[in-house]
Amino acid sequence: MSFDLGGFSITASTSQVMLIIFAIYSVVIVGFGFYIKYQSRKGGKDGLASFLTGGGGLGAFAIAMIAATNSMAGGTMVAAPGLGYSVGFTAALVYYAGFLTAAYGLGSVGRKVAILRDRTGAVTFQQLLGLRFQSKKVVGALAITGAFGLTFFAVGQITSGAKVFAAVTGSNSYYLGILLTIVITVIYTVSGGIKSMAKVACIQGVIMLIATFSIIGVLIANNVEQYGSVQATMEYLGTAFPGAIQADTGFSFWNAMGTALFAGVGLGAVPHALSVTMTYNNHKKLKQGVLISCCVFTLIQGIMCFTGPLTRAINPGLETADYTTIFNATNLLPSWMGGIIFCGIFAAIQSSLAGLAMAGASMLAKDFVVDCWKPNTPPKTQSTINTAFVLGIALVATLIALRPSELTQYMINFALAALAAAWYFPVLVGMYWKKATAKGMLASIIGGFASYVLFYFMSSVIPSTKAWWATALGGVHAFLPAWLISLVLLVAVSYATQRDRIKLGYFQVFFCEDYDEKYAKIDTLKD
Amino acid sequence: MEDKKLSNVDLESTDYDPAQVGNLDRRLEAGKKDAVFFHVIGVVATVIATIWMYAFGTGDPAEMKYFLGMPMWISGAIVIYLVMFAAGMIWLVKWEEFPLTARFKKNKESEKEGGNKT
Repeated sequence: MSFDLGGFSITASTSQVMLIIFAIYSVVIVGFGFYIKYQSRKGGKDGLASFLTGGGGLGAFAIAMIAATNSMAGGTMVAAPGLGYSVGFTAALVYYAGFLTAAYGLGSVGRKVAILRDRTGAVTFQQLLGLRFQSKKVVGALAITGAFGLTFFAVGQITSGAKVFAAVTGSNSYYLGILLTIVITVIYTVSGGIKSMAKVACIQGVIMLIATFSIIGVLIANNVEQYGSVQATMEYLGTAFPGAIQADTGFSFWNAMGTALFAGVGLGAVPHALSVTMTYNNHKKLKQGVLISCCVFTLIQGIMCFTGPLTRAINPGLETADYTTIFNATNLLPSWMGGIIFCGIFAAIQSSLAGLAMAGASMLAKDFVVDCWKPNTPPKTQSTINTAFVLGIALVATLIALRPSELTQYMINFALAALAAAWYFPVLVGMYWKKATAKGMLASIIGGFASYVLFYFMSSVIPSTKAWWATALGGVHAFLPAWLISLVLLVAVSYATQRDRIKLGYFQVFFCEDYDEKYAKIDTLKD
Repeated sequence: MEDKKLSNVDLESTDYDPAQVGNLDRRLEAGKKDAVFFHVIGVVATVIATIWMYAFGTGDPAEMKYFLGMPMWISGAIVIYLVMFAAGMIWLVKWEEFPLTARFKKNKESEKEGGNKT
């Protein structure tokens, strides 16, 4: 018996082997979560701080894997190969600026954040910015835009996982796929926090590497066997599907530029990428972590994005482009390897989901509820609130994913770019520019977010403005102008509000060698 | 020593020029150079690679020149991004290492004098 997936099929025996391997993988990672929870309780380190930071003592490989796997979501293993299959090599290349993703976020602010963490005892990145600008409004704006963006990004991940599961089982069990994707992730996230994520991310990173090398190896081998060489394969694509090797297929110049800047550079400073800055206390570990993360990301993202067009040369008949990786796993490789790749796909999705849930929950629980609203909340209650928000985000994302629709897809697409437009300059400039003010930060966060939403609807949804945007503005990605508006607002409003700068005592905590401990206390937020 | 330095300034003051505040922690300033470097090479590489792609990749596929087995617009863009990657890695490897503790010089001075670490 076999399952027809439109252009290819999966035998029942292959499906069974894949599911057995997936079951073993799931038991291992859930087991890790409970083991970490047990160890934390035994050591008396069961509070929210330990949940979010792991005590600040994670090793280099763990740091690297969290950073890399947080940034590589279902898009890396599923959607990017699918887009490459449909559109061609441009779809791969627009993601390559992300080779330095860990450097854009962790490498750029990592050392300063670690020092500031030691000075202030902060457990979240937003706490530091809150202290820097003495503003609950800045923290609140970051928390709300961050949680919004992350929740809808999570919807995309859950949908990807559910579709993959439904395809592999041949059962169209989309809802069962949603359940498995979200339940396993929530269990190991809630039970062990960042330490659990770290251990699991190491396993997931290795699985993703094995999956990546297996797929590209078999694809190149099959193409060379069929056409004689890689160049001959490219020449075949040029005659059979010319768009695959033409740069302007699917992306105008300005659209490609904006996508590359957003997907490569912009995503380095988003919440789930920055949450890793709370997990280490050693310069050497940080350096090694960033190096390893960049190498892993380059290998996996760089190779997986490339597999789409090569798959098209072998099987041009896939009806669902997002099944590119599933086709490669089930039809070109042995069943057991297909099972590992299936785990690799889920590893990418779950690792990002875990990072999204952790980051989103900490923003709402710690930064918004506790720090802005209820500062005297006992530590155990803080942990409970955080757990509630992890579950809440998972629930909201799941409910939206239950009914995937065109509207849902719009939400997912714009959520991540809106997040990058809102966070990028406030995070980086706010951490380093001495003249940045709270009002400048607030204008930048809200202005970047709002302008992206407006430009997105103008460029992609409203028919009349969509046509105008394509002709008058060359189809530029909405992120690009919103990003620039965010920067202009930060600089202009900061210069206009220099009289509202923070007290020198707080300034010294963030920039000087000597400082008064009184100003390094996190619980001093105003307004 | 720290108290004497800090007692000379009004830490409650908001009337100061950020550009004139001295005694900057060079570890925190090092991070600024990293941020500027990584983001500038990221943006520059992206702009150059995208221009390259569209300069050489929009013609007739039959007329395209090949390099490393792929159309030049693809392999050239990959090379550009790999150069960006290599530059970033070299910068990282050359990172000066220092403790990520709250205070740096203070620790070193205390240790030399045989005092307690803060």
